[in-house]
Amino acid sequence: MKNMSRFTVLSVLLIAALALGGALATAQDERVIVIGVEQEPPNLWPLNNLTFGGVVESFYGLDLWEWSVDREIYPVMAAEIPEAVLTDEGDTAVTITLREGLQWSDGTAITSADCELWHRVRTTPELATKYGRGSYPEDVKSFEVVDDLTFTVTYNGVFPDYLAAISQPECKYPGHIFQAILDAEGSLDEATYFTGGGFEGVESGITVGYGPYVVTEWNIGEGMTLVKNEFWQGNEPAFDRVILRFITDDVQKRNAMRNGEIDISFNWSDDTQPEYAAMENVETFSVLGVYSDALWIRSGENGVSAEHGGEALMDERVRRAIAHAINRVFFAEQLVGPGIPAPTSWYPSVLWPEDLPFLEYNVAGARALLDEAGWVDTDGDEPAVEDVESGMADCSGVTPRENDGVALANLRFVTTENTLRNNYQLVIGEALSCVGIGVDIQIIPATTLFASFADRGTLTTYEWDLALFANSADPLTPTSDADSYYCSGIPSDENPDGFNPWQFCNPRYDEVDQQIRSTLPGPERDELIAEAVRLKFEGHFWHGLRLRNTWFAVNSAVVDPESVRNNVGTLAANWFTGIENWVPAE
Amino acid sequence: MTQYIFRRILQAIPLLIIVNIIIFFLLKAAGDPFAYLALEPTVSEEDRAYLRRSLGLDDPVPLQFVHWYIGDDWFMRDLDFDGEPDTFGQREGILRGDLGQSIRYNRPVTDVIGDFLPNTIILGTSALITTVIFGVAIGVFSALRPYTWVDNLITTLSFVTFSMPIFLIALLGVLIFSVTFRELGLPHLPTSGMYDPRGDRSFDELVVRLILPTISIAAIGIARYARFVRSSMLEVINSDYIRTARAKGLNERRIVYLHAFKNASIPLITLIALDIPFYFSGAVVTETIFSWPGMGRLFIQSLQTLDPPVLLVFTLFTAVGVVLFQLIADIIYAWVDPRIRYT
Repeated sequence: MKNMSRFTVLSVLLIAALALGGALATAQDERVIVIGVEQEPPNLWPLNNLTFGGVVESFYGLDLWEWSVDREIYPVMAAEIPEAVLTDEGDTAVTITLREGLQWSDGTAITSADCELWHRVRTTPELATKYGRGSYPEDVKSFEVVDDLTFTVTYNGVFPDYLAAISQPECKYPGHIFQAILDAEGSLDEATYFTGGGFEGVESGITVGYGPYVVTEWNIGEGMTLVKNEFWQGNEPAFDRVILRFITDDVQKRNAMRNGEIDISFNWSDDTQPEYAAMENVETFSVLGVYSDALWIRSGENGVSAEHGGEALMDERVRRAIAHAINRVFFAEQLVGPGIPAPTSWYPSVLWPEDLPFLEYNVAGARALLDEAGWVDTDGDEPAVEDVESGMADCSGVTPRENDGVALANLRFVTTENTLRNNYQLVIGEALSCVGIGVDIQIIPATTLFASFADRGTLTTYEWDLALFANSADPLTPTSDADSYYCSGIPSDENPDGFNPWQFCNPRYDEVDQQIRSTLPGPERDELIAEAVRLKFEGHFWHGLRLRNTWFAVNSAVVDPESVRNNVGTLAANWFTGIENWVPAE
Repeated sequence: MTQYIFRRILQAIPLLIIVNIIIFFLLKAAGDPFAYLALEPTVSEEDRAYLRRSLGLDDPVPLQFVHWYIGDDWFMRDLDFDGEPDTFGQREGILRGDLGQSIRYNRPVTDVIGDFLPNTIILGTSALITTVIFGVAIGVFSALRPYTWVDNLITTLSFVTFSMPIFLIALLGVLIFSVTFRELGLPHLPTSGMYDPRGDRSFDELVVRLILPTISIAAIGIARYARFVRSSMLEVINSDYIRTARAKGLNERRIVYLHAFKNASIPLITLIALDIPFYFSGAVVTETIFSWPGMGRLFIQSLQTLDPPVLLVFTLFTAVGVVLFQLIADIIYAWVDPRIRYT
């Protein structure tokens, strides 16, 4: 027994000694920064446009132009942002000139031929069979190399959105590497570059690209190492190595941040901000994104029933009253954080006409609108306006307004299971009670809520009245998805693919949107965009609650948080393309 | 014995096929692996249709099952959508050693598993050894002091540990040995990955990072083994031949370790053999919590992204492991216990 006790004690001592050894920091001569990433990309395909593939790509595979979170487009590989001209045939020609002296990360010059290879791959399915190419083959008519640095892309017809990511030309294939593969194998399907899997060593030529860093090591399931690209022409990054650490578990990502195992954690949920903020040497901030959480209103006749407020929501005044009844600015500050705006319109703010009004919190105004629409506080039990000034008063005992015996009650208020959205649901429900609107709060799985009409989705079958969710707007284009905003998009037995369950239907809007699609950028198009924004706003079926933000936590002992804050993007918006401007902590 | 082994292998084949059929059809019912691409603006519906057809996902499900076994290199599909079959498939089927291509990774499943399996073997071996050593030691220690306060304490702790879910043990481990130790200024254990991202991927780093996941996996096993060994030892220690040995004046240590433990450990062999496949097929929860790049994490990723070829091979691998180690347990059982004879 003594031997066994000795063995146990020795084992414990061994474990403690190893732990001590592992905890001791290794002296570092070089500057290294470790970024925690929640998902590992399956491979490094440039056409694999998955979000977390894009995170890695933002270090080593930049585009001709990128765009900031303010949607300002700026040139990267291109010498300048190109302008489009109409050809005699009525097509759109865009001539792009590359910056002089660009080199791939192996020192080879970048030329128009590289961009032409990208065009060929996107328009010739046999060259890369396993990945999508979107509408590029249909949009692009021809590609012509003018000289070593210049090429012209011609789009079919009038094509104003040539700067948008989906059909923009790119130069991501190093031609000197891939042409040899195409010559030998006839396709890029099995090219090592794309097949994923671990590797080590930049000399393997696996990830030749254009960006401040180059991927040199990928340990599957663990992380990637990137080192400075010595042929990068931009600002020299201050960090010699960037390590991407794949941590899929949120709790562990926080622990890793707390313990200094990672220096940056990003894209975490709002409710974990206090925990991050309490960590030693950790500063948190959020960057405003491009998507908005909003209150959507079922504004058409489908789904109307006396049980759920009758035809109230078909009246634009009632929909406007709902916006006035909710203190959206206050809620965004209280529930999300300071500086989080409640957007006026679904469109990017750069497109808003200057005089587009934000529907302010105004309980008296909301009540007046409801009165005007015939929905009356019959028993006079609504609290005085001064008692609900904060926007968070307790109005649980207030009876709903009525109109011809129909109560403005039991409006089905749906959203998905999400702490923040569910909190929003509660405070909005309370605020609406204060103006005599009663809601029935429901939490529905996303797969059911957003399912198509054919799959009996909650929204598409009109089993709702108010909904809270985010719908993405393409950040670079002012046009709308016809299925979601045209009269023709209203779902029905005849139109099961439609996704306009809010039933916004304005034939003038459909017409204007079509005109925007076929007008090149310029004053005429700007006017059309302003009209479209106004028409959609006046539908009052969408009230912005908060612009969604991306949270970052930064170890201030390793990197200056302010330099990170000014040089990061958000979800779907260029993530780390400004990393070369990050400044190490002093 | 040879006849017995042969018969067991023959019996295992239909069992494996049934498992495979169930998993195959369950995965087919889970939906389209490319559904997520519907949200990708760069991937058109035509692209998705091409992907589905080129991988045979448009074929009738029973035919897909046939292709999974014998390949589709004899079967033509219409890949240019002109109504005429024009291109042969490329798979050879599992009966010819082709385990398929991962949809997510665009690589052979064997390569993908080859990336993750060694890491699970490292963690599984560490957890198994820890479980056996500590489980047996505690069980014997407890059995030699029956119904004392030490035995009662060990019994209570065993039941508590045995009742705890793995994720709770893992998170408690992190809270104590990583977070709290760090806050107290003590040496603390890292929480994620196999190596220090800033380090040199040394053996020391690996050992340190093995500690918490090993404890998480082994804790329940130790409790289970300790209970098992304790009851088995108690039964043997109270048997006639041990009493005889004591009467003969044999050394107590010799009695316990040579005579009692040797016989008490025979049922343990079955337990260990049956546990081995689970230790080596990946600890889903532990590997996810500790960002350990093993089979469990691959399984979760493949499930989330619906990568049927990887899931099929994973489940087949586990089923084969269970059958194989059951057989090995039976063989060893007969080898160590002369009373057992298979016919």
